[in-house]
Amino acid sequence: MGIRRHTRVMLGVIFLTYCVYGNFLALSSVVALGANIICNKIPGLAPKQRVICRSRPDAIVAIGEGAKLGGAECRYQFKSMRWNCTSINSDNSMFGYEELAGTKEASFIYAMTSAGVTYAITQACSLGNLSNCGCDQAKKDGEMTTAGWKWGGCSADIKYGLKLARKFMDAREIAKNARSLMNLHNNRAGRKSVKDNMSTDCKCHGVSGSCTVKTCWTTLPPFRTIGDSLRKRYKKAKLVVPYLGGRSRRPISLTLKRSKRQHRKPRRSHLIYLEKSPNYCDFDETTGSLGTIGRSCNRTSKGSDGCDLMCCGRGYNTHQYTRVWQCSCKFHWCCRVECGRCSERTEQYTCK
Amino acid sequence: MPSDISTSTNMTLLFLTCFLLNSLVHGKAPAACCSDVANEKCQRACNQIHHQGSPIPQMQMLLSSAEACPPETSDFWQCVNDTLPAVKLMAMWPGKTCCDMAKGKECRKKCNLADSKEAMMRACRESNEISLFSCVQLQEDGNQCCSRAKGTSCGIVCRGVYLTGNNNSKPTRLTLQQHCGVQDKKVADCVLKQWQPLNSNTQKYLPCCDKAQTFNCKTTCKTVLRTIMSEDDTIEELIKVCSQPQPTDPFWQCFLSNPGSKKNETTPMYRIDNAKLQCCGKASSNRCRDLCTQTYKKGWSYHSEFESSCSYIQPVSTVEASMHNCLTDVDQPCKLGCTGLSFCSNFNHRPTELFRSCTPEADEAAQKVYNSWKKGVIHLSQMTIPVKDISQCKPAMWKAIACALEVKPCSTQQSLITLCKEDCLLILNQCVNPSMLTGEQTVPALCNALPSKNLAGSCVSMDQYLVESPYNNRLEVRHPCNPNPCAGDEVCLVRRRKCKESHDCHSYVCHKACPLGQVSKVLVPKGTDVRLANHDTDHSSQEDCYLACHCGSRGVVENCKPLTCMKRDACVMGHDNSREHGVQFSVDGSKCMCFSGKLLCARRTCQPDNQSPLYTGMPGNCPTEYEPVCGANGKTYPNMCMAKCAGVSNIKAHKACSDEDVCAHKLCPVGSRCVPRPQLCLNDMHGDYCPQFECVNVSGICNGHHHDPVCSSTGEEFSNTCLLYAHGRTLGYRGHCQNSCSTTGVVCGHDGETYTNECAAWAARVTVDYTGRCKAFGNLTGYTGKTTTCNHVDCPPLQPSNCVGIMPPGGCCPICAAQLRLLWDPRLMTVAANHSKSKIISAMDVLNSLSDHVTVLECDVFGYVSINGELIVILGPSVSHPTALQVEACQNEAERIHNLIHMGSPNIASYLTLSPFLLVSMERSTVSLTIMLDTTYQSLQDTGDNNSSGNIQLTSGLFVLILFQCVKLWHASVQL
Repeated sequence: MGIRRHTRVMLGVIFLTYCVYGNFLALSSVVALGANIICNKIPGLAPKQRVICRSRPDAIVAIGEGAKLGGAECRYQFKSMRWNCTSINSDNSMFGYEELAGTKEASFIYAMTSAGVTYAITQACSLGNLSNCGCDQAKKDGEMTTAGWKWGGCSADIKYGLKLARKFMDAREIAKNARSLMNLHNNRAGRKSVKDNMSTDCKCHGVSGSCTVKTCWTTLPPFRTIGDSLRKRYKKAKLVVPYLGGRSRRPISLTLKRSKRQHRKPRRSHLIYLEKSPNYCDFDETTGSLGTIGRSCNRTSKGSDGCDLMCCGRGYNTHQYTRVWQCSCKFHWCCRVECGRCSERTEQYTCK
Repeated sequence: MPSDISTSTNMTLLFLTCFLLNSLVHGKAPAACCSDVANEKCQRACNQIHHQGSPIPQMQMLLSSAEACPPETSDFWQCVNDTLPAVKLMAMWPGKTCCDMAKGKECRKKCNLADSKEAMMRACRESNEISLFSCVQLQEDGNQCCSRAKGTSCGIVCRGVYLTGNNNSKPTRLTLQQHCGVQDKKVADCVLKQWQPLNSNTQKYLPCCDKAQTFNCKTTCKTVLRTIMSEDDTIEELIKVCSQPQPTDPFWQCFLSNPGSKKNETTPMYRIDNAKLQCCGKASSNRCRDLCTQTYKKGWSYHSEFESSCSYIQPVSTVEASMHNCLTDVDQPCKLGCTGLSFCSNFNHRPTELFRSCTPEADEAAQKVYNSWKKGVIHLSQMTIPVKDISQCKPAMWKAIACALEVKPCSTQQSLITLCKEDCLLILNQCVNPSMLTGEQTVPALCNALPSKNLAGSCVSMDQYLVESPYNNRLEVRHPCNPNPCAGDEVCLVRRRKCKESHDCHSYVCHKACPLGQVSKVLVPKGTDVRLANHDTDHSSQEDCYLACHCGSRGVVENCKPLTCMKRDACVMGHDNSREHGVQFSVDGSKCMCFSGKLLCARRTCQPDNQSPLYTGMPGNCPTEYEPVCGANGKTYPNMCMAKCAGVSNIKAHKACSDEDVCAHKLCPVGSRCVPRPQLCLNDMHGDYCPQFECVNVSGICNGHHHDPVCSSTGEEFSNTCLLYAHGRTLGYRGHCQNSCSTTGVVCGHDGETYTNECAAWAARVTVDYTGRCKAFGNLTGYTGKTTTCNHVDCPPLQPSNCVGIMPPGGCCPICAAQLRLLWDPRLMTVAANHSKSKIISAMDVLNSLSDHVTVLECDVFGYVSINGELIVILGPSVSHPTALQVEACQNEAERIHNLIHMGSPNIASYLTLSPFLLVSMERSTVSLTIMLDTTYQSLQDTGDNNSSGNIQLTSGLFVLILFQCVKLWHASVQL
């Protein structure tokens, strides 16, 4: 009552800004040489992401590793499909997949990268590489659960990983359009898949190793598990349309296209996409398709990596060459290894 | 009309002359000296400069031309110095040249007229003229450096640089170097230092250069880091030559993560378990030590590998026995007393026995194990033993075995529990199912390798657990902290004093504590100094390094400082004789230890010579008269000869320390009064006296947080002396107010000091030798018998009456308690003292810290420093009429602490004050516990010998290891 309206608004804005920027990120106890300059020069970061980089340079290392991990897993999962998760832009940017249209593939790569970042941050916490996090404090020693075992050891701090990954990855999506809503949702789906796949390891303490007394802790699964789980979700990805609302008719949410009830929102763990995918046979900059010219294919396979499907009926080139490798290696004392060379004629098929 | 024309022509003439004069004034004089300049470029520059109007553009132009005109062109610089207005202004006062930056007209005018900064400040307001004042400030900073310049060009360039404000760019720096580099190096250095603090951190990043991808990048990196440049420039250079920064590139990762601390280090508060980390030093193989260190420092993921390759479940244990005993001690420390079990009820009410795991979970587990055995087969890790139905065949015995495996009575020798051979034979002969035995298994073969009951301390006998404890209704020994009533982040300490408020007074106190690691169960109370291991993989095989940290208010250990590392050097003892670091042995009947190159022994200087006629039984054949002297360390010695034998050369006074009036000389400043504060300093004072007084503020303003309790003559306790005097009381005795002691009658303590009354002695943690003033002293090595010197001393009766007590060294009368003799390493003590606030570790500090480890309510810690330089710690009942059971409980507690110190367990060694104590030996009194029921227990209470190294007559069995060993041996013998 005593304070005027705009003063209140101002105070509110200042408070919120402090909350967002000051609280979580202001722990810049890590001082690295020229972190400011390096962070400014890393290509492909949004301004808010640079802020995070400057205040937590050790975290950005983990985030980078996570993005790389996500990308590698994506390429592994799709190595036998027409779209194999490589991007047109080779400018080394950490997030070089921006130009993909809002297709199923885009949803997968966003989820995969987000999962990779979450995974890498949590792993860095467990290894003690990040200065602000360690074991999960909620699962501390000695609390007996209903199943009859105790929490113990050092559980991976997935909550911290989720929080920091969300701060970083979602900092990019500031445009208020349908695409950014889709990206946010897929990021979240990726993070959720890491959380849902956490496993519990136990150690038995009983007499002579029996499991009458157990202590357990949560660990991260191998990343391949998460890759497989997201791949399944990719197959069941849902098409959505934006629901316009508000005075400016901006998209405020995405709703499923093919659903019986109206305005049904997609589930948090599902992947969503806005446009149908092209067939990825030809090079097309607008959709981000590299085409399949020059891809290697498998002549005998009937699946997607077979030369019929991979090359889209264009035909393939056969390339004969002699494969040479080292075989029958023997160790001689001391300390020499001698190998023979084996060779065979093989053929390699690449699409025209 | 003509007048108009004339006025207009007048005006124009006036204007013209003015103009001419102007140009003359401004143009001529400088033009004159400029034309003298030899160099063409410089001449042109000179003219141009003079055309500029105001100082700042002049200086800018000057600086840009300074490159072309080196300091050698003295004519140019001289000309500039003489004629350039800017230079003239700068000479007046630094900052005059900034006047153009003033925003207000009034201010600008006054500034131009001002002849000093103060005059300017009177005219201009700082809050309005921000740019002006910052410029002035900059000029003043610059002046500090530039005024030292000797050469003209240097001074001008220097000031000009500050004026134009482009401080940190490369061309400016080059110009500065050019003009000031040779003659006025000091100026150049001064300026450079002001612009950026010399970043010595850059050297630390040199290892990052090795991660570069290309050779070019690597060499550039090394040169760039070695030259002194600002951070920004360094990084710019690197980006130019090497790649764009990517967080996945190891080269840039190295710069982003802080390589100041090594990649392997984590801050102590984020380590997994600092207490277990200390055990890693005891590993005998490098591999297990590395695995142990990695697991407990940061990588819980290494845990499974560590367990499988260095575990004690499998028979690698004999190799890594000491490490595993240490780890087990941290995981499940021995605790006195057991109550509250439902299945293993025979283990209840045993207040004098030690168990590792007397918990409800162990109880349930024992029940599960017993039920699984009922099925007819006993499953062990490597084999199975078929038995008949155990509910029919000796059920009590099987139950006792199952409970013993889970509740784990403590054995002093090792952490594994072993069954006794006799018990094994007994039970298997009766209950094994012979038809199901496989060919190699026979009962004698299975039990042969087990130790026999007769070998004291080697196995756990089941006899005592077949029946209920005889102490069922005895409530005289209480363990308030077992079971633990405090929350998970608090530590339980026994409260032995009366509470101030009578309500809500428990016999325990829950104190806020810090865990020693994220996963650690060891808690230290807030405010303690802890010592943590600092395993550095480079040197950890040759030296032990530690950190001293503090448990602060945040609930984590923080503020860690590294301590000097102790090398694991062997000790050379004369010709061809050396001992390894950490080995204990005995020399001439006394215990010694080799620690980091120095021998640690109880001092035995001046050996008594048995044959000499002067043999008095005292060290060094000293006379037996009691003529006390007070040493510099605050201890009273019986006579001068003893003091010299003890190595104390600095004698403060020729009377007992308690008799000396410490405050006779004016030692305290005005406004405070001197109050005696006797203490024994344990660390080497390097010739200084151990302070025996304190200066107390009399003004009435007292620091309530200073914790040094005192008891008034009226029985009220105050936190410190200042508060006592502020409330107008007189000092009764120092320390907490004691209950159940007498306040009348002077007494002599075992330490040889006279105390005003029994309560004063107890408050000082000293046991009473005899009543009256000190007049004699007993044998210093603590034999049990009364020595002849104490003939005319009347000793008070021992309580309980059938007790055969021990004789504390130097005392006349025995006491019914247990006694530990601790030796400390002086280097470790100095390190601990340096870390403390008062730079002193006193005996009282150590005793207070030890009393926190005593879990029995009725027992307390007393002690003093003996003449041989050992710390004597007496653990006895603190009640007025102790019973035999209480004494026995206190003695077993003493034994437990003895074992912890002897094994170097992190439970004790983590406390910085207790860490210097390395060598311990124990003596026990003999009490016979009055047992109404069974006489079988009499044999259990067989007197422990005086100099035993601690043997609890409790043993229990673990089949796994021993039986497996048996089978292995049997197999081996078969195959031979």
